[in-house]
Amino acid sequence: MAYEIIEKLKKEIEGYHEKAEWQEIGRVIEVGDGIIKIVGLREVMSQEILSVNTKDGPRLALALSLEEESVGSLVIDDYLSIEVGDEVKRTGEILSVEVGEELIGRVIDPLGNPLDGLGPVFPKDSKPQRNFLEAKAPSVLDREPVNTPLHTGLKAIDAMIPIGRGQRELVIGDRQVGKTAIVLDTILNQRNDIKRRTPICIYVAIGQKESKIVKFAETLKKFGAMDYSLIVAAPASSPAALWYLAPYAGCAIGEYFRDKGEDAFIAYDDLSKHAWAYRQISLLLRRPPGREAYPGDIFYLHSRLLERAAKLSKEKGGGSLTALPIVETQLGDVSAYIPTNLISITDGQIYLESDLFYEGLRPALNVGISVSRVGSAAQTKAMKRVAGRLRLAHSQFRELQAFAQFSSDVDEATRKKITEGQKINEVLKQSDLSPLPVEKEVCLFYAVLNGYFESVSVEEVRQTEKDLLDYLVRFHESDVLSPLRETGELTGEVEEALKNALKRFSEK
Amino acid sequence: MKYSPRFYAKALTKALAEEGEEKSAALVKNLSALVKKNGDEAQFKKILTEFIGQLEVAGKIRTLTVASARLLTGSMAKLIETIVKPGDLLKKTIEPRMVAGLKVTINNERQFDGSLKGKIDKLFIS
Repeated sequence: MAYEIIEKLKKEIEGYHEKAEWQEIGRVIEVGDGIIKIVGLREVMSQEILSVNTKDGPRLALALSLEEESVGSLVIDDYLSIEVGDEVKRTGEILSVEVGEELIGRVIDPLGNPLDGLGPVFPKDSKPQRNFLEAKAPSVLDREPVNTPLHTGLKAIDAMIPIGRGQRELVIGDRQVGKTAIVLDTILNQRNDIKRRTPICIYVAIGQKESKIVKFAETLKKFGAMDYSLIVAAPASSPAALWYLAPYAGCAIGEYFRDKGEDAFIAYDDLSKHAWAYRQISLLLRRPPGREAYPGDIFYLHSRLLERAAKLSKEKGGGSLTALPIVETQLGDVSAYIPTNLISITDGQIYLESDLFYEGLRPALNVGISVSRVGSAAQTKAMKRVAGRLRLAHSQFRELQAFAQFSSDVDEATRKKITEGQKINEVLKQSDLSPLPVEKEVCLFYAVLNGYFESVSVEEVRQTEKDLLDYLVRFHESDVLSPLRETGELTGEVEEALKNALKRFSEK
Repeated sequence: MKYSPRFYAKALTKALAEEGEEKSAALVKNLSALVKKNGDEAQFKKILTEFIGQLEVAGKIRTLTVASARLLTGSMAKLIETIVKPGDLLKKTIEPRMVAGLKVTINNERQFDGSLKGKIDKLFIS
């Protein structure tokens, strides 16, 4: 450490050019929990970094509220040493984060400092690009419709609520229903989608327990997913300022890859905590509270963040940034303030329900109120062919199941439909950390919807599914799985091969 | 506190502008009586600071604060005297924290930082 400081000082002293200049200054007049009020600095810019001269050295703050008589700032450093009367100087710099390929595989804080103990992210002499945390979303002309799938590896989602590259899909549900598991599986599954560019995956942990973040990072490492992922962490122990900045920092990193023409995927876990942090900061800055004590610009806080997820036009490089924000509900109340805001901002929502979770349906997806507004535009042709029927059969089953509860005696046709629905339900179940490649999902849905599981009892469906997939991998990789993976289409020839394979499997 | 120091200071500034400087002594006396009547005597110092601040913003006076690590003597003291204009308020402070050099602040808003500590801090922030 001492050696580094001396080296840095030596270099700076060697190249030091004295610039005699007058600077604008201000003074701290109020210190709160992570916020300060300053008088002076009449020409300060919003989002400008300020340097507070404390007795323990300079501390950085971010200018947030520019008022008539004072400037409300957010301390992004240790705020305990700041005292009333301390001098504040402008730096002329807007808050930004260093971005580059070097970030892949790393765990950093929202200011770009490494948290994984692997040393500096960027080499000492490099001059990495800096992206502003607050940036304008791409304009209408810079975008194109979402048309490329981003497979999650989760059967229920890929079939019924498809997500496209550049889409914003909300994951909503109570605590402990598997919201983070969906994000984790989606990141792991990107290795399976070998036909398309592997997106750079960014997991933004806001106010999460450090143990949970470590577990997440370890799981990514274990499955080799850290090769294309990075984590921006503002753990529960960090100040509200970092919780507030984390999603913007993650987004700025995602934009670097998007603007380079690559695909990026970002998960914000979760925006409820982000809203809490912003509420805390706003109340301390004495901004007028509104509904549930959130400030008036809470909608804009999230809309400006999520609008930055986009699929860019070919002229702009054709990159994409897909966002999967997570929001936590209390006792399934989707009509609360933050969830309704996010539902209206995003292009659809994946709704997870506690009741379904405890019934053993995992992922605990409520298909009825989950939706993807991009729809089948983000599905391969093969998936489109099987998924339409799947959704219909599933919704018919849910309806019949509700009626069947009241009458003990149902006709044969209804009983058959219910049994088929139960089998579909079984097929849709999936344990975590086992995302499925899309070609296998297609084969499975084709089999269950075309009566190949008729002779199998509901209890045996999961074992049969496993056996079928093993069988297809062993004997039909070249004529079924490989063409499906390569072309994404269920052509006549492939369908015939699949039918024969399923027939032979049924006979076994 | 019936009124904030800023309001008293603003009212005095406006009254001085309207009534002219010849009535300044009477206006200050009246303000003093009013502040006492309102029970805001404890705010006198703050009212004065606000009043000076408003005069500074209006460009009527200039406050120069010169901070140094040690007491200025000889050529340095003379140098400071050359930059002080008639009517300026000059304040000298000693801040051992600066280690060496000096800092000149005008109206608590603009500063020339020629201290060694300021230069070292700058190296670490950039």
